Amino acid sequence: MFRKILIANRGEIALRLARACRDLGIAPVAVFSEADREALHVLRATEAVGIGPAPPRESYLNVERVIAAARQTGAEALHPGYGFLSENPALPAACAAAGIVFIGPPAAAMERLGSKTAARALARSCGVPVVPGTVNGLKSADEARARAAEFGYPVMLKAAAGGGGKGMRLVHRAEDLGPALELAAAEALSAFGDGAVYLEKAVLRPRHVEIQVLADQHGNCIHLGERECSVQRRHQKVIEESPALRLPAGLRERMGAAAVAVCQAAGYVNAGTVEFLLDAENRFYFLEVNTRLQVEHPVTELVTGLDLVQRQIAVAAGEPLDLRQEDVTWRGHAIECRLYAEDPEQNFFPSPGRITRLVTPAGPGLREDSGIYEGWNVPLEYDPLLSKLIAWGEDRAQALARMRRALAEYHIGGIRSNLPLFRRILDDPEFAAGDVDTSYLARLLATAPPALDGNWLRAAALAAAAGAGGNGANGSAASAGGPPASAWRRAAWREEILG
Amino acid sequence: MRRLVAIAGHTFAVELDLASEPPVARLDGEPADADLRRVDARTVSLLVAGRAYTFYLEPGEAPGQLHVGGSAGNASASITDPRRQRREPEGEAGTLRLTAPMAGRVVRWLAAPGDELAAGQAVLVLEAMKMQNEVRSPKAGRLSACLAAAGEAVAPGAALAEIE
Repeated sequence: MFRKILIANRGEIALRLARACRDLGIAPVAVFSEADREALHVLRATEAVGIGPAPPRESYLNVERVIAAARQTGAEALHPGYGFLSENPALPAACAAAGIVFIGPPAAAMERLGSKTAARALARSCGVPVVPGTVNGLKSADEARARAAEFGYPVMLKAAAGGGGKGMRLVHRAEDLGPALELAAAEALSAFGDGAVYLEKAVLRPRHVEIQVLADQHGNCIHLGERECSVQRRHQKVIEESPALRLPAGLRERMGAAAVAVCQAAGYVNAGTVEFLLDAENRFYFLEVNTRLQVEHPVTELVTGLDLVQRQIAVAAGEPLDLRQEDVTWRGHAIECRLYAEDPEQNFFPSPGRITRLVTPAGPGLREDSGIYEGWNVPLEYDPLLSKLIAWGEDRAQALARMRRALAEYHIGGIRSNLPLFRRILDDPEFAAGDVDTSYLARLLATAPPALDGNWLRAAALAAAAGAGGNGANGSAASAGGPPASAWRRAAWREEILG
Repeated sequence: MRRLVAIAGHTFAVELDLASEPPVARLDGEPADADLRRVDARTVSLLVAGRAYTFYLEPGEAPGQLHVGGSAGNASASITDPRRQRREPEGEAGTLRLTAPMAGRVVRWLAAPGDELAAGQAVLVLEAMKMQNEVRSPKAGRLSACLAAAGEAVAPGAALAEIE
């Protein structure tokens, strides 16, 4: 087993990976950019290396600097997390050249599956159904229009190198295809350094269900069941659950077998995720393989009782899987909410800035994988994921109740977050009934949010008046700019409230 | 102390005198039966007719504004002293300033000065935190000025365009 592992990531996932290392008695090494010197993954580190300026290209996306940090600290292995370099075959190749074990798939398997078009061809060759679409990146808007006419609208544009909803656009009409292609290509270029975009027929009101796969270096490959990720906004997952909703008997096994077949055909090793679309008749279509640990891996951990990161490390160390397919059991239900620094009232624009207040939930059935703390300044440069809240219950109703309770306890002040959105979703009868597909969230957001409770509003008005204190409307209590400590003068308050 | 509190589309007249014995809290002229405590610098606990509320207060974007958050919701409140009320200076008739919802970089303009815009029409593309977002016109009108160049970094609230 390794003695030291370099964690080539930041934020909540860097903390989560470091925890798995510590649980195994392995020393984790953190890396950070200049913008992240005060980030939680650095404050909690036992060893940390600066790898360059704030722009990702000069730090977290820079293979040489990441490898240099591993060499300098004597790390024997490297975990890439998700995002950044995690799906870039240059990283496993550079690791191999430097004699460092890459905790993930071999570069060849990553390459085979990393291009969505190549992965679709591979799936087809394994007899796994795929949605009709172009095999290669589009060369022009004219070509896009011709192929779209062939498949029939609506069509979906997707970044060939991408994931996470970046570079994706749903197009309903031929006249919108040109501008959408430009936006998707620009977004793909800026997010992945590759502007190639392909096109496929859109399956309407589909569900997004993915299979977690785990493969060792000795030819063993198993699946750990599915995750339902149908609650999405702009193709970005918002809520994930396991098990999937209303899954007919035998479908988990069939999808699991399809996922394992694709991974084995690709020579895949380590943890990976095979994404499928599920249509209204529960027919599944292969979408893509994410050749890395997923953001939403905790829901699988909670229902299987397995630590996926520990398994990844063991696989990378050459250990055979000590788990056969029939040993995997699922218990209860888990749900994850991704808390982002974005403002639901302002079209979900990112909301970086200082977290002036943080009240976090606790209690039975709850896990929080967080990368934030009170007083921290959420940087502008990176993905605005703040924290993941995961609830487990004996059944879905209990998991949802626990999540609702946790969301009520949670408070983030100073920046805007999507916390109010999660409260709204968890209170929505349609969601509670499990009547969800990938268009669910857009439909919910098109309706007016429920009005705030009248009693709550009256109480809030009293609190706000008290908060403004005796200094008048323009008094210090409500003035902007200054740090809260000076804005809230304790002595003045005491006089005002307590007399 | 009397204050007008505008919150979530409602305006309440609040009268607070917490120094008196017993403390006075009136809402729209009616006694509020509220036990109000400041727990710490930015936390207010209220017991209203036996119901418990905890509010987390944060300074808002402008003087006289507060964010009020709690388990049942979040809202921005505008607090004014009725004795000092004055009219907001009105902008040029019919001119609307499109502002940056957050810090970012202008990727490109989708409309040029002089263009007629429909309500909801995308005017420019703003990139922030790795996502490209279209900034749309909230009303129909003519784009009279582009106030930031493509490639330019803009601060939150920065004026991007004028629409007449």
